[in-house]
Amino acid sequence: MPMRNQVSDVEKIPQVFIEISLEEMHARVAEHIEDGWRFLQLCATTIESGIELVYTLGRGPEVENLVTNIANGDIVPSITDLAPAAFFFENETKELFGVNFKGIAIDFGGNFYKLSEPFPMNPDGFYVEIPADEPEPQVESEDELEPKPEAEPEAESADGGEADE
Amino acid sequence: MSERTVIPFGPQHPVLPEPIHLDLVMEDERVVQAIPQLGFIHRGLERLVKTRDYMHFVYVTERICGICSFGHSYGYSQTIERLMGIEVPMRAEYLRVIWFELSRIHSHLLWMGLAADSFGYENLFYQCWRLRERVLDIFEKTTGGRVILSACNVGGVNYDIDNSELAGISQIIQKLKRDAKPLIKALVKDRSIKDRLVGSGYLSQEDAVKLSIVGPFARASGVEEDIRMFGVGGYGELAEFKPQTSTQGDNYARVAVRCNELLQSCDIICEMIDKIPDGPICEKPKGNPPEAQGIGRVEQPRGEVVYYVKGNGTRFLERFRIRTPTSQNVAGMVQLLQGCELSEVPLNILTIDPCISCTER
Amino acid sequence: MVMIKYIAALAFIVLGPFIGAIVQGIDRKITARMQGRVGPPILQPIYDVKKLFAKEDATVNGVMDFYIILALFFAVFAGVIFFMGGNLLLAIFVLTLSTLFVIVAAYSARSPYSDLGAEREALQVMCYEPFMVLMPVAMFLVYGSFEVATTVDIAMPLIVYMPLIFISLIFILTIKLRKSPFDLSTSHHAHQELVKGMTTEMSGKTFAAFEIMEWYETVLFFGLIGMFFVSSAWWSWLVAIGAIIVCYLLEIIIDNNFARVKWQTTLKWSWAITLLLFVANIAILSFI
Repeated sequence: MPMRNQVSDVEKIPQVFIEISLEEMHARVAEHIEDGWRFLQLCATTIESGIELVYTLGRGPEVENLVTNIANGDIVPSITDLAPAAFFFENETKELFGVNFKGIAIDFGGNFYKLSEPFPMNPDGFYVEIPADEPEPQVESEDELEPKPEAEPEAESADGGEADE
Repeated sequence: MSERTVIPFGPQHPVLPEPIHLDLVMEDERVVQAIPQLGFIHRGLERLVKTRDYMHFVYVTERICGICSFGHSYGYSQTIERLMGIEVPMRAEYLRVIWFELSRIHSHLLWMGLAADSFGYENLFYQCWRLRERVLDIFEKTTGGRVILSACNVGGVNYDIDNSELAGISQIIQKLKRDAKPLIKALVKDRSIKDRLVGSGYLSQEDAVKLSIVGPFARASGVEEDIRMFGVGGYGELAEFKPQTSTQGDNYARVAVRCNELLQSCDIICEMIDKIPDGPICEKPKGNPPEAQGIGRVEQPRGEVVYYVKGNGTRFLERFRIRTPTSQNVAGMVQLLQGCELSEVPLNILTIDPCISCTER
Repeated sequence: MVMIKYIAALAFIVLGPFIGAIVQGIDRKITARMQGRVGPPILQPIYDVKKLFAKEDATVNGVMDFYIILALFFAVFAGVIFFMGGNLLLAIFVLTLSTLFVIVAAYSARSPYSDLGAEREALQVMCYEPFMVLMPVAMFLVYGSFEVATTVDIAMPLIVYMPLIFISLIFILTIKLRKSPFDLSTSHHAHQELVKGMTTEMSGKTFAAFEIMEWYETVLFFGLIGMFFVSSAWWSWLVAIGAIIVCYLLEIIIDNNFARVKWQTTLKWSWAITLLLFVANIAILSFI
């Protein structure tokens, strides 16, 4: 029966999934973005030992995925300094999975979607206190927001209370 | 230092197609800062992947959004087929392209109407939506649904369109192209519209690349990228495909790019209908998705959509994620809103063609 | 003679709102047909106002009702002065006073949309006030009187002497009747960036009073247009009515063919057109 008479060049390019460790992640992403790769997406999946993060980068027809496994409670450096558009994905992942990102450019503090149950995609997730080694810029911008600051402390204390270890 | 007020914009506002909340910090009529807030339509559809098997999940992906409905089922099917190594019959690929381009036409006409409405030109809004009805009638005749088509499935398509009907569709699309031209002329040449559009919402090419913006939003700033030019699926059969770009980078350029894409889609549909081969329309998949990860990309009317699929050998997928263009473009929108006037705010929001229901799933 | 003046005033007060409502209904019907829709029945504005009176009182700030009632009163008063043949300059100033009360009412609602709508309405007043003052001045230069009653006795209607000023009147009426491209502060379509602008916080009886005030204003503007065409001949009244119909149809066509422009553009255009046409007209007159 007549099938497609040619497979496109894109489909001939194998899909690349590279496993790297959490410490190298930021540096590898920086390297790629220097090279002209574009940040496409960030996806988190719950696995038994914790969470698997997949960072997808694309350049023209090629797509490369950097995969890293983390445990619940690990602190992940944010890539919003390299790709500002990532703030959306990091806030979402933080709220749905409880992944602790450090240094998100626009940080909603867990109030991005305002879910009724915490971490619906990852019941074992929890927030940890992120050590501030330099003054975090997003704190000042949040103080200018009028509606937010009242909602924030309640959410943080609720999650802090939940993380009873 | 003049007094600052905070204007709450949305989530219910007559000019927004979907709910998004913006706190606009204003000084008189100038926006100093815009803080977006989402989450009004988050339905948690990605968790359903654990309880619906991968063949039935197509119906869930269709219902993520009303405007981009066919596009999501197309992208999902393509990604699963690539993961499982299924080869789709050629006639099915052609039919998918035809429905997808029709989907693009109706989405752009909808957007043109909303843009006209946002600057007060209701007459143009109604005329664009009247034209769009013809496309919805074609959808209804061929698949039974006006908005949610349920036409695409893993392995092919569900419905066939016989060749006489295809010839009729080609005629309707040619007439639509002729009738759309006066509307496009009104949008592009009218003096009062130009006064609102030209120069407002400017985004340079460097910013577009840095913020990794996709879709007509990026193409209007000179970034020449369009997934259709890589020739995946039925697009490989086109004689040639050139993405529509502009170098001006303001709202006017985005309107022009979308109008050009609309006319280009009409041509693509007529070309596909001329060349469509005969054959079966579906290749039933056998077995379950393997334990592997896969990425698929599709160019929807709003931009590039990335699908990430992870299988685990059972009928249910482990993880499925859609990265919609609006989630990338939100960063661009926030940048456009800084320093703009209040009268430009609705247009700056609509110019990225926000589809918040796709974004929040 | 005096009786006719009082009958005219009484007719305006009693019949004015109905004429205004039917005109608005016809406007909506024609606009709908131009857009490919069926449109509401012609008496729809009357049904709307009837419904508004039956609504629960949900005003944000009680003083707003007071201001709107004052605005309505002064609009009627302006119309009465005009139709009694009184001083045109006084009629126009009372009309402006009525608009100012609406602006203050919108400010008193303390909502961001309402505030911005009031600001824009104040800008609109600045756009058309120069014309509204220059038009009676032109009339004085031609006939030596500010009284509207003189137009009924003259041999040649005003349009013969002030055609350019009449064109300017049509332009200004686009702003006053809240039609695109100049429907900046509030309009009948709630799709603007300001939700419904100045009238966002008005509902129920307050909004009904606003709508009725708009009807009275429409009839007053028709009077202004007609004033350019009446003379001592009896058939000039028919010409005046014909001119009113043609001008209003023109306004509807303009409304349906333009997008809304920014306030900076409105200000520039209205001042430019007002001043240029006024100076041109007066210059031509001084040569004749």
